Amino acid sequence: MRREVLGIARSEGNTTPLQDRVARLFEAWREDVYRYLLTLGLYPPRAQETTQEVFLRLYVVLRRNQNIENPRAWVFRVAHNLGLKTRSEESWEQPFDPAIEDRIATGLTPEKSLLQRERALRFHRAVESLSERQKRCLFLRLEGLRYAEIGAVLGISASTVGEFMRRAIAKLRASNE
Amino acid sequence: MNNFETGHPADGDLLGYLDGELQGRDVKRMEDHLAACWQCRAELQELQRTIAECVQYRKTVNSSLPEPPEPWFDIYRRFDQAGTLRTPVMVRLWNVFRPIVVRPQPWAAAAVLALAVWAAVDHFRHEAEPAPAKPAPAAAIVRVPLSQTEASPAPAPQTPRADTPRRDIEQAPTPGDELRVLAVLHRLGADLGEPVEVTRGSKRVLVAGIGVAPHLQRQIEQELEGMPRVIVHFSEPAAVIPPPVAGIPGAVGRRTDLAALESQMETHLGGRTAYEEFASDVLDTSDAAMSRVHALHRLAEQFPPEVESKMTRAERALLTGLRLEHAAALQNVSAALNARAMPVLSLLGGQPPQQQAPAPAPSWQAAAEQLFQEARNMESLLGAMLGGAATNLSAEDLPVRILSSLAAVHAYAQFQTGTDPPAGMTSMPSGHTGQGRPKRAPHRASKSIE
Ligand SMILES: [Zn+2]
Repeated sequence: MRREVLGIARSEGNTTPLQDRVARLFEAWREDVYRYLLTLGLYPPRAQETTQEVFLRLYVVLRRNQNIENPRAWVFRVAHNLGLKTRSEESWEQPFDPAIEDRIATGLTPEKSLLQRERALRFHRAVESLSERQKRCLFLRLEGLRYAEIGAVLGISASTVGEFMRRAIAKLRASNE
Repeated sequence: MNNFETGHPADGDLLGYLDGELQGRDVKRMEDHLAACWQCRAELQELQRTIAECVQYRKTVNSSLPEPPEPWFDIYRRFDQAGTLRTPVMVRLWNVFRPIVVRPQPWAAAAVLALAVWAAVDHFRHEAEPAPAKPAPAAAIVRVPLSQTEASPAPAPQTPRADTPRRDIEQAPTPGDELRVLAVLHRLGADLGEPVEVTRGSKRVLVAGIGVAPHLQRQIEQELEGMPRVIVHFSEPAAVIPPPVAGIPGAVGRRTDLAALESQMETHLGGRTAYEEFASDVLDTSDAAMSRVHALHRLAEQFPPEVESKMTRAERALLTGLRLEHAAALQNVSAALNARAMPVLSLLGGQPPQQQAPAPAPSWQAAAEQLFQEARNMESLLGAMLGGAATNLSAEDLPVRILSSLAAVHAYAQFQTGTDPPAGMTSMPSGHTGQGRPKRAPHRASKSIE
């Protein structure tokens, strides 16, 4: 009942600027968050639920006038923590494995030529050889987070993040030489 | 950043420069150097190329990952719901727990949730327990909509009242009832870091979970269905506000003595990579230990000696079995932790402590409390040494303190695997906090980050 009413209200354009803002961010970032959660080992349905939950939390926090300096970093921090919680609830299961190696090898990714595929495979294996923390740092950096923000997600210092990043980049670079 | 007056900047600094992570003066120095040095400019370009490859890799990965299984929800419709959720309890609980949380820890999150569930259940129990004249059926599976669990004052849940009066089952649940529920959860693997809380009320054993995976919810419901005087209650997570990050850790730079300790460890271990692996291993193993410690602590709290002594023989055996399983697992994990950390810590000047006998405890429950206190201490010390958490201790003291703490935790774990307290153990002074601490290092408060 109430939802119907709300639906009508919305169609009349009766939404708050904050709701519009969060809805915009949701639309812009949900795919990134969802995919990040998949790389954390969440299964697709859980990753999607968790993503949705993250943006509702963002709304609740902003609605209380709590200041969020960098909403994207906030979103990834909350997604990461919720994701770990979700994963630990399913700890007796294998984490989700997207079988990226197979997909690259069989040409299901943008790399079409043999040479490109081989290169991508080498790079993928190098990423897989990183320590879990190096990998997390790299993935979060790829989502646009700064070292201090990554540190806040992983509970380590910004300088340690810098060290992890340096090691990660050095290993990845070596994979191509 | 190192002073590279005599040479080139380290590649970490080059990356830091590209990532905009260098501070004012260092940027200037880097730019001056780059202006002069072709080598480093070429190096910078190499780095950029690797970064570009990372970006390409992200595209590759993203194109390999499956699309979301469902259409995205209409967020406008959920704003309404999100607005009605009440979160102050969760926030307060977070603040209680924050001091001991140095990195994402499944068990700590679960502890917070468990408490929150408890609070919700307390409210719920109030509403759900029928008047004496109308007892609920033996087992009721209750699903309370989100808005009713978290919003307060909530309308009373409808389900448990619709029942047939049967006077004969109106009997308070026993600790044994509670224990059998715990045994079921244990068998399902839902007693380690699961946000499932079991509470024995005056009429019912309440099993409550927030955000439990759906298939686990079903399993728990099925297993508990036949049990008398049990209510199962699941709800979805409230909009928990994650703990605000008060000052980003490490943003101000690591304390110099701790940084020096870190490089010492690096040297002993043979390089940065080895150190990172070490730190990662130790912290992960310590997390695994904490989840067991937590499980034991929970048993000790829910079944104090006076309760245990009134249980039937079979119930006591069941309790002992649960406890020993956790204790044995803890002993293994703790041995692994010691084996990994001891050599390094010893090289840093920590004397391996002579095996500490646990402080006298009158019961396994009291010993579990001591274990819990000591394990929390260990956790914060390790966080300070390896996880970048703040500490009042000097880098000089840390290794010794950690060695003592590790040894103490291990001794307590061993103690828990024994069935009886050693003969001759007398009563413990009242007030349990810190009783089990090793005797050394008394001059400095062991509150490292609390
Ligand atoms: Zn140079």
